[in-house]
Amino acid sequence: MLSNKQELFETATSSSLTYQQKIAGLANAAIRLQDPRELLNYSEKDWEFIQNGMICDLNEGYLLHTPRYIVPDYEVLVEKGCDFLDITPPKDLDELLDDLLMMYAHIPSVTTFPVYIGNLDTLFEPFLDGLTDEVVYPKIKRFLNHIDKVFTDAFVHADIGPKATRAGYLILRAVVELENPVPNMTFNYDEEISDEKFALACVDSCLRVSKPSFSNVKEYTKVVGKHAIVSCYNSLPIGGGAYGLLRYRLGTIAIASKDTDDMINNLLPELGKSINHMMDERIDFVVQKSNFFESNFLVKEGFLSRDKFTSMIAIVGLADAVDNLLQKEGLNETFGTSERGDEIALAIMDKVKEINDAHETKYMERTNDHYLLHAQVGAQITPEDVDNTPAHRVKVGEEPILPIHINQASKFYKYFDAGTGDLYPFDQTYIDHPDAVLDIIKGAFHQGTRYITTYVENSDLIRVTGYLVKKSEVEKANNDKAVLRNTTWFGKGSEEYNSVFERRITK
Amino acid sequence: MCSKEGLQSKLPLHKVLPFANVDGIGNRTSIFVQGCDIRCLYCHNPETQDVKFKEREVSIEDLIKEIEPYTPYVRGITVSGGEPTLYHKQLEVLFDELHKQNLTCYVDSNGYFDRERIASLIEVTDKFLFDVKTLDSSGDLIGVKKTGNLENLKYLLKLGKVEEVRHVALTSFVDSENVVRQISEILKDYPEVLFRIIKVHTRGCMHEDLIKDKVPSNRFMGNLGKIASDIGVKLVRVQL
Ligand code: SF4
Repeated sequence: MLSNKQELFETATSSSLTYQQKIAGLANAAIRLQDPRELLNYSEKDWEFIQNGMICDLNEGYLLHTPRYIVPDYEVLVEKGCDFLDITPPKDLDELLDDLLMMYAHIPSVTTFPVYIGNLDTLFEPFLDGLTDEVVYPKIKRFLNHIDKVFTDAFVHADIGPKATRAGYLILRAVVELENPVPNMTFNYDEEISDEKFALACVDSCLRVSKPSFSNVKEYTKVVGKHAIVSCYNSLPIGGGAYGLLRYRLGTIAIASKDTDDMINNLLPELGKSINHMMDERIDFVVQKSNFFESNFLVKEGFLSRDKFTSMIAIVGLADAVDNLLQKEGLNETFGTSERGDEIALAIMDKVKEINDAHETKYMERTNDHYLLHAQVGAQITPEDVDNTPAHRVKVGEEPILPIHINQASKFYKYFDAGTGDLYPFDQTYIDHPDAVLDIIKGAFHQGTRYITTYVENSDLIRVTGYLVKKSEVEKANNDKAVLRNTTWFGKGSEEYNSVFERRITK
Repeated sequence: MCSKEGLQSKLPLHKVLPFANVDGIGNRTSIFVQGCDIRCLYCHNPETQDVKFKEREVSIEDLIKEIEPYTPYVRGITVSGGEPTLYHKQLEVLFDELHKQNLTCYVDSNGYFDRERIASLIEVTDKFLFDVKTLDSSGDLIGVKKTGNLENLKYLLKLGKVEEVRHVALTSFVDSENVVRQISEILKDYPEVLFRIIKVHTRGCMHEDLIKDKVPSNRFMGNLGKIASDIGVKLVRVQL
């Protein structure tokens, strides 16, 4: 969407945005002033697909100055320090924690906050030698609390695991005690490497405060190599990241299709051409014109390198597309419980994959000259998202019982090498039975699921599509009061559009 | 019973619960059979007592198919009731099949079985959840005159086939304190076996009127727990 003076005026004078949010909003509007048909060689057709909502660029703008997602290799900080910030390699835990906080403030990001803050337990562990838990714990807790209050955006993501470490246990303890939405957290779980006790502690924490989520690290390593889970379940190369993200709004596309065949064989190929073209142009601009890779200290000092970047083509609204097409086929069934529905969904995804596989492109050596597919669970930003349920998820209220639900969802993970995830709420009784939940997670991974998260109903801190919000803050935002966290705004959108707070609970 | 024929044999079924987290460690699928050989005053599934009221009858083969979508997420199944051992022949077939899929098979029993008769079921059962209702043979609590089942308990314990022992406590119809003492004397030698002492719940049960004023106080329950621990039972859980 192009911006205009009116948008700038409304942002500047809003009564419900904080100072930081206004600055970010104004900066975003500024890079949407210039028409991408001139700036980025978008064709009329490309632009039409953005305008009519079939392709969504998440309002990322056109005058691109930075890749969307930055995934720095923080081990470099430990080894070499950072010249730009005049930091020498940390000698003890205090220095490490300070140095990391200083770094975070300088990590560029589409959200203005770092989407990846490191594999925290493995970063901390070597610095714990000779220190007791009593000494270490308050430091870790303060560090995590600092992040919540300064990097006020639930797309800020930390990883832990796969090995159990003392640092890992202390992080979990702090996370449970703090009950903060930020940082979001993933446990890189590997049944063979992660010990059972630590995995159970992660489940326990996840049931209490909705994090960490579980990622099938072995599977993602197979397809992305050395990676981190960042932002909203994006699995991206460490030391690089993603130039950008464009998404097919499948629900919207289905509305415009005559029937299933029309969508798969006419619309998708045409949209595929555009989405690939726009992505190519955007990356050309970032790499060739933005001077990011020439000037940013992260690149110069080896935290990032250009050849470790990939880019994401995403989908949303698979459920809506399928429901729409089922209706056109005269079937009174819905995605999640319909056999024909799954057939249609798999056919759609096969086509999306085919289009992506056929497109070789520049600056993409890290992922074999191809974009990675992603199922987007995050942002609900415009009314168009009413017709587009996150990722490949089943619509809220239409989920089958849990085992059937996981079996259904598991069929789709194989497409999304750049990540996706589903969330399953449990009732209170599971708090006493993390072993039962771990059984379910293990089973899901064996079935093909790559990422799973859960929470217990009735906690204030709950997961909306992918990130965490406090229900109490959403209520505030609904009353148009300024709230601390950017993501609360997205939560508000999701609540209105997709009623995620009422997801089926397993009893 | 040859296997083919066994797979066709029918089981009167009350219901199947895909996921249960209370019937032993981990996540399990619970299968409730219909029909019981006793009549507990506090029975919460009185509709499962009489086989006449069964929801449906399924062949073992169909039952296996029915639970197939759930099995990736569970360690095994627990058969409850009613009284599962009444169907020892069918369950033997079921368990044999499920073991091939690496699933463990538990039986939740009231303990009043003839162990000679169900010997081959015991052989293929991984663990029992063993209920000790009462130790007197008056029939006051369980509606029929039967002698205590501690011998069965001891037998299964020796085989290493008991996951947990349960007793539902009341202030009348059963001498709960004595039951707890006697069980504890046995369990103190089995530190890995959980002893669950449960306060009777009256809501929705068969003879609410008869037992509603026989519900133990929390202090009474606490005392039962203490008795068990003092005697030397390692894992005691009191459920209020
Ligand atoms: S053993 Fe007692 S409580 Fe259990 S089903 Fe039979 S009558 Fe009901």
